[in-house]
Amino acid sequence: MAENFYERVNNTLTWKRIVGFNVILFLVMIIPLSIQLAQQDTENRSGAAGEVEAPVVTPPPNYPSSPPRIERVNAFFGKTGDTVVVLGANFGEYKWGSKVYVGNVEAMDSAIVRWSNSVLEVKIPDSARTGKVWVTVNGNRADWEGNLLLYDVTRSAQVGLRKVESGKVAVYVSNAAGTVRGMVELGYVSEPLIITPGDNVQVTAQTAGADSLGKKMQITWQAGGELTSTQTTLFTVSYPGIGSLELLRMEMFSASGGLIPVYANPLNVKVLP
Amino acid sequence: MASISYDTHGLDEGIEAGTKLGAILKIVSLFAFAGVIGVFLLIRGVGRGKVNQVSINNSFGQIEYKIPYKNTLYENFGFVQEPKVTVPLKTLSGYVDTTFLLDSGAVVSTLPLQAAHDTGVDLAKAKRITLQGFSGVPAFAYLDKIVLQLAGQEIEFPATFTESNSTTYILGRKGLFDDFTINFDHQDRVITIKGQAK
Repeated sequence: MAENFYERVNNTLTWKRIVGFNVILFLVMIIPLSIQLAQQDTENRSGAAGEVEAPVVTPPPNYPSSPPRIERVNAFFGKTGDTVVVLGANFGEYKWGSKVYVGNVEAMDSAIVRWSNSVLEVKIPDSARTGKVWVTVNGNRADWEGNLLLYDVTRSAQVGLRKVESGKVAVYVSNAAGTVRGMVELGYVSEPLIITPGDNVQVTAQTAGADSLGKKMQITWQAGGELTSTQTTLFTVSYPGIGSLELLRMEMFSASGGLIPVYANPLNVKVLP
Repeated sequence: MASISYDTHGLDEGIEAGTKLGAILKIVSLFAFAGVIGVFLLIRGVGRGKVNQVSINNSFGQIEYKIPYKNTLYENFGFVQEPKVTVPLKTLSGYVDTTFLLDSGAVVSTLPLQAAHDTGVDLAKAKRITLQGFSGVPAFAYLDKIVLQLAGQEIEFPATFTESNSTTYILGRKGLFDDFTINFDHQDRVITIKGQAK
């Protein structure tokens, strides 16, 4: 039996066939093998990053002729030491004698990360509390319409966006016990936005607006009673699904009119298409 | 009778051995090319999917980690040697091999947003800072920590998590360049990280 097998192998496998098989194997393997080896050592890229920082020279004061304007404060919540970005216009290319107030407190020079005509980056001062953000430039004052909310993860309500399906996003809050009403501002790209209130929630107003950074919609809502600490869907937003939907601002109030501290997980403030 | 029987048997075995040898040689030859390729890939470590060479001196806790350079073909600059290192990153589901760009120009290690999710970092508790983007509008990043396994040792590094999922995994100076000696040897195309395990 064994003798038959070996003899059969000897008779079937001629040297010509063996060489032929190896040549075919070589031809079949060489292309994927070459691609794999090339990819292992080489990567293709179209651009590179390089930046040279110029030395800082502050020229004499030359304030903008128009008064300053604040369009957005990003993010609308934070802890002391966190950085917020104030976006607007006519802040001046340099700080000079201008001042920025964050959470009702003036930010010292050491807390100002960057000052430019349209963007300010400021660390929330240690003494700051939930409150207003404003800028004074050459005696002119610009206020942000919202409130910067200082939060503590353990005691604050949480807000977020959750993608329900393509083109449909739910706005939810959790740990928001005692809340009776509020306002949500969303940044969006495609319209129309169709707002559908959640259970026991009534949408009282929808105000569309826009600034230099894009379109935004302010949605005011009222709960049927005090919210509990469990997760509550305030409303769902249906939109054409083009572009992102972003949570720009949120304010919630208790029955006595007190502002409820709110924060959002950065993973849940923007829904991409 | 016995000797005749022995001679006949010996003659049969001689023929059988030759046939066997020939058949085995032919079978081996049939897969010779595949065998050569297999050995080649094994030497290059393709099968293991790792490019790192690691050696540890356990007696003194000294870590020595060698990483070969990787070529990157830039559209405008041609081939550029790219210092990339693949190391296990501690995530909620265990260690996951992750490729970082070793960037001596970066102050701190930077990872995309998804990495915060994978590693279980609570961004709401992390300190929020800004990173400068090319568009002029700053982007937020969140300062926390990551754990890497370097040459078998678990090492914690400060790291920032960006708000984008498309940013590169970068190993910056803080924690790595402070505590380890890093040698970029362009001639041998190898990066060596040396340091004392903590």
